[in-house]
Formats: sequence, C-alpha cells, structure tokens
Amino acid sequence: MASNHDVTITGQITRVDLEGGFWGVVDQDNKHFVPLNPLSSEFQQHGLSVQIEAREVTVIGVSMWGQHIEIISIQKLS
Amino acid sequence: MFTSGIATVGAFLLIGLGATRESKGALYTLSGFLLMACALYLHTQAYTGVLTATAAISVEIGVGFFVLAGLLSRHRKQARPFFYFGSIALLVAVVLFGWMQVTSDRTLNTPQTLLVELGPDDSISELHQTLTEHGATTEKAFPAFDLNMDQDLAQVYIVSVSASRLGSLIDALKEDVENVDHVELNFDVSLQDPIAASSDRDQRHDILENDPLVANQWGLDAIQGHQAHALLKDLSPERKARVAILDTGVDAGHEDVAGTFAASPATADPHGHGSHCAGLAGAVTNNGIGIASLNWEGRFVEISSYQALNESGIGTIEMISQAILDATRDDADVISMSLGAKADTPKVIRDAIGFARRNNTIVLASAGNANEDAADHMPSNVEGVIVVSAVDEKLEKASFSNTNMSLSRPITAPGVNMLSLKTGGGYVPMSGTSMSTPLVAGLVGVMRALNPDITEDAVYNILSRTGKNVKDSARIGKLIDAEASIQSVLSGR
Repeated sequence: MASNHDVTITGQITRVDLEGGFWGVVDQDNKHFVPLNPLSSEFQQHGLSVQIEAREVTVIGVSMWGQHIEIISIQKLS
Repeated sequence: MFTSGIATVGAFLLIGLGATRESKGALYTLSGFLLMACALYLHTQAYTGVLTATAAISVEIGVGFFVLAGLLSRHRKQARPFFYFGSIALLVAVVLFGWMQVTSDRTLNTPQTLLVELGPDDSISELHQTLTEHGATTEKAFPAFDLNMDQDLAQVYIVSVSASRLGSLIDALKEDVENVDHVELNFDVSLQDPIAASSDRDQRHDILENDPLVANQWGLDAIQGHQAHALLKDLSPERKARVAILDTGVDAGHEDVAGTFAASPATADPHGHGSHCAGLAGAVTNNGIGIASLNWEGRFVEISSYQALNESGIGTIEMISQAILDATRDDADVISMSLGAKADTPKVIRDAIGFARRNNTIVLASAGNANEDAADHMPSNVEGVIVVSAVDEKLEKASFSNTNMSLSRPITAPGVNMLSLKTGGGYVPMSGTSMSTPLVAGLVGVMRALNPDITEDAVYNILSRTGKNVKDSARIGKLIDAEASIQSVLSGR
C-alpha cells in the first residue's frame, strides 16, 4: 500500500452498482474516490454532500472505479 | 359547461317567448334556435366525453322545457308536451350520470399493483396493518429467489390495491422506512403481436444446456456460447486447461465449480468477487445445476485460485505479484485478473507478468471501470496482456468500461448483469469489467484445452480475427465469438 498525499474532498456519497456494489465519493470535478475504511451507516446515503479529509492511497482492488482514499475525517454538509 | 348551460336555458326562454307572443314571435323563436345552436357548439368545444356532454345537454334541455312549460302554464294543452319532454330529458340525464358514476367506481376499484422491496431482515407481516387498512393483497414477486440468491429480489412483493387507495398506500409504505426499502408502480405491459425475429435469433439452434439458470445468461447468447456448446459436446480436449483466478479467493465447495476445481491455495472467498469470476470462467456446464460457462461438462477447463486480494477486495503489489508467480509455477495456462488501479504498473508486477508469459501462461486483465483509457490502468497496461473491456446487453460499451484500443491486445465481452456464483452458495448478478474478463479467460482456456501448443499470439489473433465488430469496437475492440474461435482452433489442429 503506497501513500501519496492528503486531500480535501468536497463531493457527494454515491452507491456504485459495480463489482458487487460499493460506496464511493464523486467530487465537484467528477473525480471518483473509493474509501478504504468503511463508511459508517450515517454516511451511507446516496447523494449525501460531504467534506472529507483523506489520504490518497495507491492499492489494487476490484472496484477499478477511482482513486482509493483513507478517510481521516468526514462531515456532512448542509 | 356553465356558459353553454346558460345559453341552452336562454334559448328555451326565447323559444317560449316566441310561442307565447303573436307579434315578433317568429323572431324570438329564430333567436332561440340560434342560441341553441351556439350552446351545442360550446358543448363540442368543451368536449369532456360523449356521455358527459350528452348528460349535460339533457339537463339543460330538461330545465329549458320546464321553463317553457312554466311560461305556458296558462295554456295547459300547450304546456303539457314541454313538461313531458322536460321530464324525459331530465330522466335521460339522471340515467347517464348514474351510469358514469358506476363505471367510474369500477375504474377506481380496478386493482393496481406495486412492487415493494423490503429490507433483508424484514417480513411482509410487518406491513400487515398498513396493507389491511388499504384492502391490499400481496404475493412474492420472485418466488424462486431466496435471500441466499439475491437479498433484493427475494424481498420484492407484488402488492395489489384498488386504484382509489393506491396513492395513500404508496405514501404509507414510503413512510415506513424501517421495513420498506423501495416502492414503485408495477407498469402494465401490453402484449403486442410478435415481430419476425432478426437474423441472429433466426439462426439460434436449440439450447443444449440443462443448467437451470442459463436463460438468465444473456452473455452466452452474445458470444455465441450455445453454438460453442454444440461443438464442444462432441469433442474431447487434448487435456484440461488450467485457468487461474487471481482474486479474493474462490469458494471451492460451491456446487457449480467444485467438480472442476484444481488443488490450489485460495479455497475460501469471504468477499465473493473471486467466486463470481470463477463461475464465469469455468462453472461446470450441462450438470443440471446453476449456470453455464463455456466449460462443457467440466471437461475442458479446471479452475485454480490464488489470493491476490484480501477479504475487502484490496491487494498489495506483493500479493498480486506473488499470486502471478505461484499460478505460473503451478502450470496455469491462463491467468485471469479482475483487478487493477489507476497507476503506473510497478516493476515487480511487470516482471511477474513477464515471467508468466515466458512460461507459456496467457495473461488477461480487466480494462477497468472508470470510463477512461486503460492505458492509465494497471496491470492491464502491461505489454502482452489481453485487456478486456465490457459491453452491455445492447452490445454497446458499458457506460463504466474503460477503453482499451490504445493498448496492444484489446478485446471485449459482456460485463453487465452477469449471473454467476455467490460465495457460500447460490447465484448473483454483478456488473463490471471484472465479469467480462473471466468470460474471455474461460474461452482462452477451452482453446488451450483443444490445442495445448497454441501460443498467446495465436490465441489473441484468433480472438481478434473471429471477433464481431460492435458499435463501439473502435474504442473497446471486438466482441469475442466463442463458436468462431473454437472452430478456428479446430481447423489449425
């Protein structure tokens, strides 16, 4: 697992119906992120606007959908 | 309707005045008929249906005749016919309105159906009160599905309710978020006269496989899988080819793969992804169980499994490299990798793939699911890897699929709603280039089984030469044709 750099992501939680299904984040530039640490149930809402402090991580996985991230903090946006 | 009603009554008043006045009587009568004509015209413009318009006119005529009868009340003989006509007109109106009310009630009482999906842990009995209050009845939408096969489909119920109570029932069900996951109207489908089938369908032969879920596998139709089965059933392989699944593991005891699973390290699959891929590559076909692959009666391909990814579906460079190496050392004919990341391929993985290719192992990898160029996606961007994109049921590029034409060995296969093995038992549909990749790997395995000496160059050339051009082939390569590929191998044996 290779670490890159810390990022702040403003975007929406999305349910991705690929590879059996997983939760992702799409930011305002339509960049895709796949959290490695599981989202707690309160954030498992399709379309929920969030701000995330995260660390980009290069790993190989089944999603093949976007940049993997390790979430440091996450908060809902009104 | 109100204006026309006033006009009709006014017309009768004028006609009545014309009948009672000697001077200018004709003028009043003529004006009355003109106004009546205007009223009828207004009715046609405010068309609300034949019955409604007729009933309304009947009311107006009835009231008009009564007004006339009243005006002529001093002349009973003259007034009596108008009274009778008015009574008849009103009676007609009452009958028509009554009929409309009855038919309206019938429409409102026509049962409408909803599709209601409960949560995986919920029971329809928890909705008993709501359903009873609305006079609704229920039945399972997909009785053949249980929770092991599909948690969503197993929990879908058809709810029948009268149209008049449909709206309030939908509201009540949507409010019950504790038990109800999803509510939608079950659209009526009108049957139309059959249209002559297109040429592709005309050419279809009888389906040979006795696998009960084969009808749900559109991908086999798309790659001429049934025609391939017709060839394979009368053939014997030179030897079984080994297809290595490098993934989250494979549920080696699954009923539809156990008979063709070769001794290998990763025999459990807590995640489920690897088992799904394994079924697409080599589920035993024509065994009366589950799904079909291209592995007719399990005689052509055996499946092996290597732990490239953990139970969360994530792998390290080391894990994937080690899996490639182990599979190659175990004489895998084909390595199928439904995994990747947007990154440059680490040297160690490029080296591992090089090792595999030098040892006569054909390597396939998914193009990726980001709707981007697979050139930026590893390990599909490693030289010599057959890179598999995905098409949907329309044989168009799946919306998520990466393109692969910038790489040296592009090919495509079905990758949307692909039914395959569910770890722990059962079957489940999944979508992704992870699904299209093992489908091609299975075909490559069959080709190797028919001709163990066939090289990776020859295999790719056959896949590409015999593949079908589809709408997006310029971006994702040709769609594999299993029948044509096998025939090509047979002709070169």
